[in-house]
Amino acid sequence: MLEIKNYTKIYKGGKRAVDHLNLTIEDGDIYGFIGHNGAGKTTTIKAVAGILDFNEGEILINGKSIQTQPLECKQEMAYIPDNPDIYEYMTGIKYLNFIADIYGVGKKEREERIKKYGDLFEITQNLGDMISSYSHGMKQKLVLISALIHEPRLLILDEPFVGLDPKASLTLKNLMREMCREGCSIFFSTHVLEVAQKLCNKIAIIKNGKLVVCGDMDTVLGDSSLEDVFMEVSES
Amino acid sequence: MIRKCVKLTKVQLKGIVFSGQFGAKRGQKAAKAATMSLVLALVGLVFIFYSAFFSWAYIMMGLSETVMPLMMTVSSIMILFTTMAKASSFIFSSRDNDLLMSLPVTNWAIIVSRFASLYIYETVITAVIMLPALCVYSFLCGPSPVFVLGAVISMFFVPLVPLAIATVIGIVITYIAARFKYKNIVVMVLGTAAFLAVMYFSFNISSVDETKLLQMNTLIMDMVSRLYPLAALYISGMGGNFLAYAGYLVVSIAVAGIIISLIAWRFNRLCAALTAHRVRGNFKMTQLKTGTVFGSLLKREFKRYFSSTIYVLNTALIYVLLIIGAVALFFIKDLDAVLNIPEAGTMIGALVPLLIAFFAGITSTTSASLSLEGKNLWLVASFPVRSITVFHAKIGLNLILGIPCVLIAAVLCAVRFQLGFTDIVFTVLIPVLFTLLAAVGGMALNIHFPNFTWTNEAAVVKQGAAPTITVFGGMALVFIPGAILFMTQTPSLVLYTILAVVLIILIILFYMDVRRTRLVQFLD
Repeated sequence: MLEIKNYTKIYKGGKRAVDHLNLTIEDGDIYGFIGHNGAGKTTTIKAVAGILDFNEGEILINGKSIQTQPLECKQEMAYIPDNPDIYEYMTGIKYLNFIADIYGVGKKEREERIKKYGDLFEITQNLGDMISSYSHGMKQKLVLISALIHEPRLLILDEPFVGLDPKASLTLKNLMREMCREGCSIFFSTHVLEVAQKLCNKIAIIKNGKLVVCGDMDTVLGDSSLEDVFMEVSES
Repeated sequence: MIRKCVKLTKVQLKGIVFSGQFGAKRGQKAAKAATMSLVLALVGLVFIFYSAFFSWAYIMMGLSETVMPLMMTVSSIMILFTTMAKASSFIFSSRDNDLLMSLPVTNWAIIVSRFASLYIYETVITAVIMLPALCVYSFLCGPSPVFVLGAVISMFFVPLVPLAIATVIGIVITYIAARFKYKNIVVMVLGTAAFLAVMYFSFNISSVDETKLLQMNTLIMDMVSRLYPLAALYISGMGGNFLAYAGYLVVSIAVAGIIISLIAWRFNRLCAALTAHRVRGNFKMTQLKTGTVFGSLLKREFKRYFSSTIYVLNTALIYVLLIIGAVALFFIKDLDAVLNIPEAGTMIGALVPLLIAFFAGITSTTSASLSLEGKNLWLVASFPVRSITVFHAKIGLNLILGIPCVLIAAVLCAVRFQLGFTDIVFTVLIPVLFTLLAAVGGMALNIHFPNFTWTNEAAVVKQGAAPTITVFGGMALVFIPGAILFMTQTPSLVLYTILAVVLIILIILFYMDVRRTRLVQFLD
């Protein structure tokens, strides 16, 4: 579903944020992406989402390049950033309807999905209010619903659990598992190592822009915990 | 507290003076900063020229005493008009409110710093208007050094009262509107009404005693005092009355001080009242309407536009004034008598295309629309939509607002002045082309001078580099052919044809520039 080949990002000023990163995500994978602050996680995730240019390498989504066929790639995926900065001048429902229009979701499908996910995240009753009145967690829930509204094949999430209440976190984890059972792929970054260990079947650790560990969770961990592996990699 | 105030003011000033609009690449940054400096220098030169020219003309007519009071009044009213929409939003609705209020700084320091940054900005504008006049006056009339010193010192006090009044008007409007469901629409209606009321009050001088018409000096002094009551003290003070001069300075400081104190005293409550949300929490799913990608993007542009009071007051208000002006022209039968200018009707008739074009040319919603995406830019960049479609929606908003207004004004003027076929064509064509240029050119300029890191909308809507260049560029494109028409014998048909060709070329060039742009480039 997602192939990252030799991805390199050098920021203006010469800082090499990510250096020749290679990663393959198969259908049905829940791929965790961990690393310390400033390691290059968000830079990689943004490039995969098609909102950040890069200098070298190739990112393919279902065989299509994000650089040459961005619209086709974006239509197949959904991206959720680490901060839910969305249109505060809209009501929740207008925002979701707008996103559905952008992704060309049919009338019946959008109504069903908004109802389904709105109820799951317990936000339906607030959809008529302006987004400016929402809390951080409510905005995060709205972004999650908007990402699921067109049933993406690939979900890219940057710190998706930040700001969510425990029940919403559990709902999201269950949804992620359900999506992967249906053949979708999920690539997400997190600092919550326990969640990553329990949820992901594959894991990648990035350090100073370079991928230092990646593969099946069981193979990477062996008898250790993810926290032990991460600390070992960080300190080496 | 003073040290904290100064630090906060520095931060505020950085936010309002073209911050973050020159890009990060070294060469690009220098080139853009140089372009902007050149444009600002030209704008400053235009103001200086006008100020100096009018001062010279007044002195030549024997009205030297009126020069400084007149310039002081012009500055005050200009500050009042231009800050009415932004002052309240600038002081209360900054994104950094929560952060600042959590720091160990007093409300006083926050308010004073915000007021001070606005004050510094407006003092520069005042100096640009008043200093050239003072130079011309000093050179031609040779006033005493005390007069010059008094005039220079007074410049630092001129912005205080208009700023304070504009802030109060802004607070009252926003407070009333906060109680309504569609509060921004109420703010816009009240803001427009306040603007028109101030304009009506300021320029309604028909009741001036006709016996004074022969005494131009007295008439102008009366008019100035009527336009701005505090000017009476200023006139008397500059005439040598020390008490009146001191009174002017004291009143200026007192008015501003009292208003700042009142705001600081109730800052938290005012912030809460002015930014109140209506939350119902009783939504039930109903049937949803579907739309096309472009239709939805256009609808989003409208929502964004009408969500910002300052954005609307800065743009749509000009179209409202255009319609009001056209309706007034349509109904006023004897223009020469009303304006007290011989042949005014004939003159306005000949300049109708440029008059309408002036309003169209200086009104660009697109020049701030990209910057206003702010932190939401990632969203539109992540859509499976081509960047040009997003830009088309932004340009579309400008055209939907502008074209009908321009056409209504053109039709009213065509009927009023009984224009012939060719004149009608140009009366429609030239303003429509100016509207297109303002929309497409504004978009291109905002692409070259974006600012996504603003903490207050005023920074991009009013003080942004792109809107500044668009407004003054539009003015120049109207004034140059207007001057040629006046000063030379060029037939209007020829001039308007050349102007139309120039406008079409500019529109095409700007559009090609917009077409080349990808939204992703701004996220790097």
